[in-house]
Amino acid sequence: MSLFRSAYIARTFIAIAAVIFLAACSEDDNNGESPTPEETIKTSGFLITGTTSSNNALVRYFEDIPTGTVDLSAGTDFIQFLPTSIYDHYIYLARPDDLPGFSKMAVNSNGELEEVGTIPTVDEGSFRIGIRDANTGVYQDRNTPNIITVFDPTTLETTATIDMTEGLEPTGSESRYQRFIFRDDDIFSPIRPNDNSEGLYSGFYLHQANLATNNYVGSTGVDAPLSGGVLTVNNFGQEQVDTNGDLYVQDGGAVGTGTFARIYKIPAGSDEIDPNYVFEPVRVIAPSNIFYPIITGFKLVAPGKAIARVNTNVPQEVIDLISSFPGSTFEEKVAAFLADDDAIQQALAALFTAETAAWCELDLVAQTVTIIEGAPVLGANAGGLNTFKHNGEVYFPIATQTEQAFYKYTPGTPTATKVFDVTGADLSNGYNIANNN
Amino acid sequence: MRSIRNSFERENANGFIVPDEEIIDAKRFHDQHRSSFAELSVDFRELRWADELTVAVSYSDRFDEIQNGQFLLPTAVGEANRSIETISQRIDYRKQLFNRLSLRYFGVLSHTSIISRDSTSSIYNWRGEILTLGGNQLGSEIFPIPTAREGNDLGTAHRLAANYQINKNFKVTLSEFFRYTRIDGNDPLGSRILLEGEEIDPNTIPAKLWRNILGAELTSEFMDEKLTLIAFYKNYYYQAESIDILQNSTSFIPVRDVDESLDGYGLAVKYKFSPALMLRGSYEQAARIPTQTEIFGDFGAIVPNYTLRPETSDNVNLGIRFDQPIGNLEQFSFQLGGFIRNRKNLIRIEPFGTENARFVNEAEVDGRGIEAAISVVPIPKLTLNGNLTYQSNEITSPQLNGSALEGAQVPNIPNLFYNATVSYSFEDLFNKDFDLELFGNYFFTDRYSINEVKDLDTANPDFVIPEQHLVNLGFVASPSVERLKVSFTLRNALNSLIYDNFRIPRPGINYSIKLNYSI
Repeated sequence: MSLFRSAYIARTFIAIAAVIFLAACSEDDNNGESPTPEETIKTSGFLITGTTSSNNALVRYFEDIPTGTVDLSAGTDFIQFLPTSIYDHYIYLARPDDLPGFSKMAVNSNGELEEVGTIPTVDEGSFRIGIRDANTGVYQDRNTPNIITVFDPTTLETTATIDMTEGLEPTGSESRYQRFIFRDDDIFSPIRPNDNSEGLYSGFYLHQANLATNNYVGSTGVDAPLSGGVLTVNNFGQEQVDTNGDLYVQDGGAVGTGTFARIYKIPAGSDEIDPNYVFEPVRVIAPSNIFYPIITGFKLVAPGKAIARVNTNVPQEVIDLISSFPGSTFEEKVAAFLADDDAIQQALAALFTAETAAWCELDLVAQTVTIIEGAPVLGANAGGLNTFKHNGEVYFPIATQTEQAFYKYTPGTPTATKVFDVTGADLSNGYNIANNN
Repeated sequence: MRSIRNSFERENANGFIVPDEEIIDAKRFHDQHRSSFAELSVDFRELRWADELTVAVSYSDRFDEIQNGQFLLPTAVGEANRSIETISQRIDYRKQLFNRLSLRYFGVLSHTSIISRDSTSSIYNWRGEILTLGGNQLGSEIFPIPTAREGNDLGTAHRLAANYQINKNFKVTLSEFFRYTRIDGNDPLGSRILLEGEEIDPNTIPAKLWRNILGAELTSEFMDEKLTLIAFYKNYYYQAESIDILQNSTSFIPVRDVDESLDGYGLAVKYKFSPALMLRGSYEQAARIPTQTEIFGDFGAIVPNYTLRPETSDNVNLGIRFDQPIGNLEQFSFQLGGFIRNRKNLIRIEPFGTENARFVNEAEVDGRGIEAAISVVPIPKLTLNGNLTYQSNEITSPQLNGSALEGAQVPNIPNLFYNATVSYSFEDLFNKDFDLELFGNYFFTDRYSINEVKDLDTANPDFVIPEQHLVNLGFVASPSVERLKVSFTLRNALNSLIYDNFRIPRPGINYSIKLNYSI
């Protein structure tokens, strides 16, 4: 090999090595954690959230209540964004990167969401965290389902654990807590089976613990043996205890068995569900809707008054389907329909997608249901369950095939007006970070 | 793996044992892989009824310990594993008839046994320690429920192609491809269907997949073979029928089936300006039938999607190729191509829960891009190669209100990536009995997101895969021992942070040594 060629090869290798070196130097080697934000966080403003077609979340912060049309695609993306509590302007939720545990987040002075702390758990399906006050929060790690962990919301350190092994086990297996409802020192928690494969309990049950003693107190519930499984609901936040101390909590009803979704009342001073208080909003407004009589998004909005999304109608497609079955009475037709698996699947598809629900104001004392006028009907399972308050008005999400928007109304005068439209993602929820829970 | 989250337990100031996390550099501790392969092949040539006939039977097995699911959690997988054993027979037949007709048939029959084991009461962290808080409530690490599934796959595929040269300018090709797969098995730990009081293991009910592609092609050459026109038609048939083994507590047999027949066609043009310079262009309406893994999963981290539909696309390609030494170069070739690929029901993988992923159909995606390749031999034995792809895969189908994330890029797919390779061969070293090839390659991948986002500059950096620079170095040595080759590769030589498409860190600097000996 000539000297010239040796030099040529050497130069070639040096050139390639230089390219590789320069390329490598351009790499961003900053793989450390982002700095913890200074204590300057936004204490007011709104988070509007949406879902992408990949089921990721987009979250956008607004200093003031939005107007016109807001584009969520300009928001921050997360794998998930499912807050269950906001307290002192901090947002508590299952970790938005989908890792096991919980996050404490805040909106920094630039209007960006930042994680300011985490509570790791062993189980990646742990989802419920609640804040009672500045000193006390609770969560459940579903890998240790018989324990409610009490923690300090400032340090996120565990301060106590509550052993719930004495709690009612309707089917002999452990439960997960769908939400934590605080009434003074007491926590009431609706339960469903911790093992996803076990479906639902045939009834609605709550465990009670006490934060002063950090002990299990008792269980209360209502059996619904013919329900085929009562849906439980895990909405954001609190607003389940009336100003007089009465606690109201909803179940989601059952599918296809005539078990209507129900509001339960645990009267002030009592630890038991009042058996004489039976308020089934769907039965009140649509007694024939035995197939999918569900309500969602139940929240107190004023003394004795609540808002909820109520499935107020049976889709015409389902009525036509059942009418096509043999029988001289509707009951006979229903019996024939229920014997046909394919027809049931067809009906379920229609029930789950038809736009037959409406946001309603519930009078918890008179047990009446009033559809909030001015807002479109929407699907019983449509996106968007969380309502929030601002300047005495209640804001609620509407997600239909043709519209995505937030509407508002004043409790006691159930007529709504549109506040803003949402584009750029499928509308999920809205939160007011000025409000505690 | 560097800088990953690791779960551990600590006693806090209030005396409670609590789970916590730390960032560590972890060594994969449950990652053993073992495989073997043997093949017996007999070739017959120039028989009266066959120009070429190959009959072969092969056996392969592999065993893999599983270290993590589709995503990286602060806990590791410490016990789950999978073994696969396959016996396969194949036949390859070629025959030229009447000077104008050539036939080729290729057929395969294979039996595969896959055993997936995922059952444990323990949870491991990335240090290989067992966590004590609560134990493993699920009883499994990757699967949603404990499993000891033994699957038996029967697969057979047949391809028949016939070429007929009509005259000097026209050639017609007919082709037929058929594949059938049948999967069943048993899982003593898996879910059960309760049917009229009897518990049925859904794995025992066979899943079946039929795929058929029938094609016809006419090739014509004009202008002294400078201009080539190819017109083709294909029919794609796809039928899948299976039991949804993920269903729990059902009281009916959850049959899922898909049955589709699609037509595809296209036209391709090639024009040779000179032996060195060629221009090509094509249009094709194509379909892609989902693969077995895309439909049935991998009985590991990828879960089934029994209702996956074929992907269809409209494709336009334009390209130019130049292949001729220039200047003092020994060899020089350059290709530049552009494409438009608008797809419906694009099959892509997406997260499914925390450990798993599954293939889904993304409704409508408009794709376009350019591809370039260059190969240079400046002096004998020194080869330089480079490839570059720049592409865009834009979601154009709205979700609910007509505008949801329209314009966002399909997640998990980079827009820009290129690579460069250099190799140099030394021949007849050390008394002329030793050949040595040195090589190095560099791969660049631009940043992209694992989420659906419109703008990477405003996207959440936690979910953006940063720019990646990967350098591999190595050599292949052929010593004096006949049929022996020794290769060594130093992967990720610069110890860069490299990720997979889900942002799971790939290993830092690592090496492999391979000995190849042919009998």
